[in-house]
Amino acid sequence: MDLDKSEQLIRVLVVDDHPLLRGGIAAVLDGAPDLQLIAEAGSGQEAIDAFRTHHPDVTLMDLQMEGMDGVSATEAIRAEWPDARVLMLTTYGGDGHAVRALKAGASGYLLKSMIRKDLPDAIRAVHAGRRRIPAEVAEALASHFTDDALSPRELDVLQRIARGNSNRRVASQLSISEDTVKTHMKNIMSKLGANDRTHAVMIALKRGMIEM
Amino acid sequence: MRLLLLIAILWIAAPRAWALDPDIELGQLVHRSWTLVDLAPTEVTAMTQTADGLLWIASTAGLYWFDGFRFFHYVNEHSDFPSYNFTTLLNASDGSLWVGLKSGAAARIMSAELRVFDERDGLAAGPVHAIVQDPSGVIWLASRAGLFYFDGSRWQRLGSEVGLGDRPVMGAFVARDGTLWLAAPDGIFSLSPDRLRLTRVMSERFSQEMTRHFAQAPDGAIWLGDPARGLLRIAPGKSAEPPQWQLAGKGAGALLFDRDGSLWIGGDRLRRLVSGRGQPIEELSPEGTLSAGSARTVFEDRSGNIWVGADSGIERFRHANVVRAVVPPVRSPNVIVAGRFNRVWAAYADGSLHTFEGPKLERRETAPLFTAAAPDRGGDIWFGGPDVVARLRPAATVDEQTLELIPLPERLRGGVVQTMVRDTAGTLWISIEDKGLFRWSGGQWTAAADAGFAQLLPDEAPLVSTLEDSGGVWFGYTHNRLVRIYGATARMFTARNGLSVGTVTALHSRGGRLWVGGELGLALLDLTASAADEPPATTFRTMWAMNCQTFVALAGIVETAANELWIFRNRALSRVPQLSDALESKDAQNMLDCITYGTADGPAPSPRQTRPMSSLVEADDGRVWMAASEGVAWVDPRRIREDRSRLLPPSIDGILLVTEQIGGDTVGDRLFRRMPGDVNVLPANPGDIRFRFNAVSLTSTSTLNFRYQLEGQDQRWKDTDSNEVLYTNLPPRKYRFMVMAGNKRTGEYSAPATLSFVIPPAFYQAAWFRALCALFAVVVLALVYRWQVRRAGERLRARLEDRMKERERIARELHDTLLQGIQALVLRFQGVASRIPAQEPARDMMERALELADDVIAEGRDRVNDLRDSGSTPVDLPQEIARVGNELLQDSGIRFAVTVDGEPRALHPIVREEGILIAREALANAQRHAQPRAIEVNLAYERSGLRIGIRDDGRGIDPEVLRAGGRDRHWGLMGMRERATRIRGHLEIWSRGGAGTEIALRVPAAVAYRDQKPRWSWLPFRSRRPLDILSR
Repeated sequence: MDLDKSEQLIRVLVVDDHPLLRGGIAAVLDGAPDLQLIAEAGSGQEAIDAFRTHHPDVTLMDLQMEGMDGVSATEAIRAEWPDARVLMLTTYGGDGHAVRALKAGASGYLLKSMIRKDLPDAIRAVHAGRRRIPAEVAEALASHFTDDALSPRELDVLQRIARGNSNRRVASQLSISEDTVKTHMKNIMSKLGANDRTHAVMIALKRGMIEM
Repeated sequence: MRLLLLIAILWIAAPRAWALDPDIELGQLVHRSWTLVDLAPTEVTAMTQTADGLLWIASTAGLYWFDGFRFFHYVNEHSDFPSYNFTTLLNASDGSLWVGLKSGAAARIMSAELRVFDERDGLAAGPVHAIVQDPSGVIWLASRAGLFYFDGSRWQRLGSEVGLGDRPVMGAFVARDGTLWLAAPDGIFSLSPDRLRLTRVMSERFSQEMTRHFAQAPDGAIWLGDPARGLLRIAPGKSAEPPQWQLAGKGAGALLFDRDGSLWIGGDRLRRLVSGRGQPIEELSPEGTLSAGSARTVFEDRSGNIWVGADSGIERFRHANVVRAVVPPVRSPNVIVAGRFNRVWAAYADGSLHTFEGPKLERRETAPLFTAAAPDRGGDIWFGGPDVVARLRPAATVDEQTLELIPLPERLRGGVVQTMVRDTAGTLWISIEDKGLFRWSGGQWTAAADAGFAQLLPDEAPLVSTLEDSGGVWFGYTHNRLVRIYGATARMFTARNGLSVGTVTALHSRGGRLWVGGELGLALLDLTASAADEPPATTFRTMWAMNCQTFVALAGIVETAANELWIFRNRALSRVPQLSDALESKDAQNMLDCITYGTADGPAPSPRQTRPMSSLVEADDGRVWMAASEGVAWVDPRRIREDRSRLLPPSIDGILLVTEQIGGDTVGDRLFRRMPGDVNVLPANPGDIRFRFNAVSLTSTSTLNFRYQLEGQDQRWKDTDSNEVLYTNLPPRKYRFMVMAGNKRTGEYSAPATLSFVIPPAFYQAAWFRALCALFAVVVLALVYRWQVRRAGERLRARLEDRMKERERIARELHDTLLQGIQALVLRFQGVASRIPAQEPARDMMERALELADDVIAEGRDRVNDLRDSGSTPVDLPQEIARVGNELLQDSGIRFAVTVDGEPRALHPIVREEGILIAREALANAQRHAQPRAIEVNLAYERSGLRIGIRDDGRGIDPEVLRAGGRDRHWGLMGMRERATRIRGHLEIWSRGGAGTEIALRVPAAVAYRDQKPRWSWLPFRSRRPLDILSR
């Protein structure tokens, strides 16, 4: 069994800027015989260095970190080591976050509140090559992938609007006409099912499409 | 002498109707003159008076008018005279004034228009001598060029038609019958009233140069004056009497018959022939008047004043009420006393004694120095002096009166006799200063101090005395003491008897009255119905003056036989007519309405302050004589003349705008010309305004006063003696200034003269400006208020922001430290739990515990998220309230609905939170207490703010509870109000028993809404979208 175990030992890198949480995750990993914590990192840059050094099987990456965030670090690691399996950890749900994480190359997505129960299985699943997406997020994703997602341009416009700029200001910032901006907003609102601009901004914020 | 007799005969035949006292001589008339010093015109050639009362004066250097105060040079704005050498004036019946010029032209002044007529109008060159108007209204002009008449537009010559030819006419006069009398170089002519027949009345050689003056006597005779020949009288009617020259050498210039029929004659002197009993012609010498040179014109005005125009100015003669007895004046006498034969005696300090009879000084003689006198019942007059007592016996003829001297005993000599009185028993009482009171009876001199009643008498000698009708003798002393001696009894009267006159200076008794005058006042004692030895009335009445000077320092009192009271004191001789009526009058107790005669009536009468002690006496003929400081004078009460001419309205010079003031005195002002007819519009903000006005008063200015009122400013009429009024700081408005002239003596007022004007508002005074200012102020206030509100809102929002930041910080910390920490701990515990074998019960226990821990963490996270919720979505509030309501009411069976008005907007989280809590409390109250069937919550997102209304149809809140602010143990209402106040909201509670309750929370927009500039509300649709959530 030991051999099995050691052969089946999954080597995990934990990246999170909260040391307490890292300690907690370590404790959970410790409780699972097939999971072994091989390294810890406190930031995106450290994560890249640690990956280079230790080549873990699965990387647990916190989404929101200061400096280089989880998404960028994931992209960087996946760029250099395309086989890397990354499981994103995040406090907030929201399909926007999920999409970003997946687009960056993450294999899965786990809410921090689910760590205690679901972390070991999630790691094993990702290690086995499967995707790990929380159920409700998957449901939301599914429903929203059928809608039109907001295009990058629309997201950009909405982000600027959210920052408090007027249509005219946005138009000049993007070097487009004000009418174009208005048209974008109309589309955005219809896609999101919003009643007005404020509502659109609020929905987008909630779903993690834009950030303040 | 024969001439005089002739005149006298002629005069007697003349009908007499005079009001002027024939006893007053020319020199005794009130006389006033105006010369260059008074800016009067000189070389006066003619005078007349127009209907407005003004006196017009023509001179060789201009035309003037005089209102009694000042002289004004006549200037017409539009036309001018060809020359200023004027010769004659006519006041025509149509109100126009005709002026004749030396050049031969004639000018007519008709209100503001001046029209000059000369050769172009039919006249010819040559001095105009006269312009006259006949009864039919035709105006005639006599000049060296001939006789002309005015046909309304041109002058026509009347010459050959009547046989006059081109003769120069040097004088013209219209007689009362319409005959036109003419003086030509070769004689005097009369033109019949029908103007057809010219009759030569007399041939004479007259100089062509001089103007000839005619006058018509009361008897109809026509008089003409010539400087050399004298006066010519042409008898009236077709009498055979030829005209006669009289008074040769008494060069006659102007002629005038006054209303009393006296003839005034100008010339080198001023002469007057009084229509009386053949009196000689009076003359006024050049020294006393201006008539040095020539009095060229004499004129009588409507009030009866006689005006004389001379080389150096003008003079006025008026009837004198107070007449100086002797002209020139002599000094004041020591004694004045009246007696039989209408005689009055005056004794002087130089030892002369004058005897007057009527108004004439009949006799002058030397006598010892006298200082007191007393008439006795027998008609003799007793005099007293330092050394002697004298007895004067009047006689029918003055020459026969005798004066008997009685020397005083040695011990009584050398003193000043203050007063004397001879009683009915024949005793002569004599009071000698410093010696005392003595009696002379039956040749014996005794001292009053030796008499039986001596202890009742004061020690000093009395100052005045009088004899009562009943025979009692009164003496007046210093210090308010009066003594009456009758027979052997004496009695003293002092302040205890109501006497308060101070030192007694005058005593007079007549009939049943005793008058007591002193330094301080006048008192009256009624002696009627008294037993001779005991006057019942022992209380003196103090009398007060009304309408004249106060009764102080009285020098003389006389009650006349004509029932008048005369009082003499400093500068005032006063008369109370109808004395009995005045004393019995119920209205004015002890007030005597008196008339004062002062300077205007003659010489200023003022008594001397020391002797004589009794300075007023009544003569037999009713004249009241006084010993004045300028000599003896008298007043004839029957012939007192008041100026009763109707007062004309004053003329207002105009409005004077004060332009310069130094130290409160006006040194410069600008006359704002009045435009007749138009309303005068002054410049805005004119500053001080003065009105100057004058009344025409040719007679006397001392009785003149004015009464004025500025309508628009003054509430009532005000009186003034000056002829200027100053107003300051008048606000912009329409005004009307009114002023009336008044006669202080008679109390009458003229009609008012008015001057209307308008002070327009300066732009900053105008109504529109004020309105604008008010509006501006209101706007400013409104802006300030809004700004204040906004600031308050901002302050509150800042506080709320701080609270929010605080909460966020707490949340963050909680999250970062506590939550994260706990989560990590839980994970560690999980690690430990995983090591426990599955079959161990501990494992299960741990797993369950950790599940609970997860819940705790999740709950904690939710709470933290709530804290840091930094942007509620608009639709949250209605949903949240719906959820709250639903939770509360789900099993109650109450219908619950939430409605939304207006476009939901983002709210400040604290406002939202408090709003929800208030709503929850209200819902709970309703459910608990009101027993409603339905509850509705209405959210209104209004521009002015957020309104949350919770309405139920239940029982309503007990009014007592409402008033108290909340049921005692249930602080619900209080708590709600506190919450509302915290977010600067206002809670309204409306409730009626049985009809339901509504609780409404209002929060102002500045506080409630997250976004203060709703730029995204370009879909402004307001709709009600009920989220009907039915409970099971």
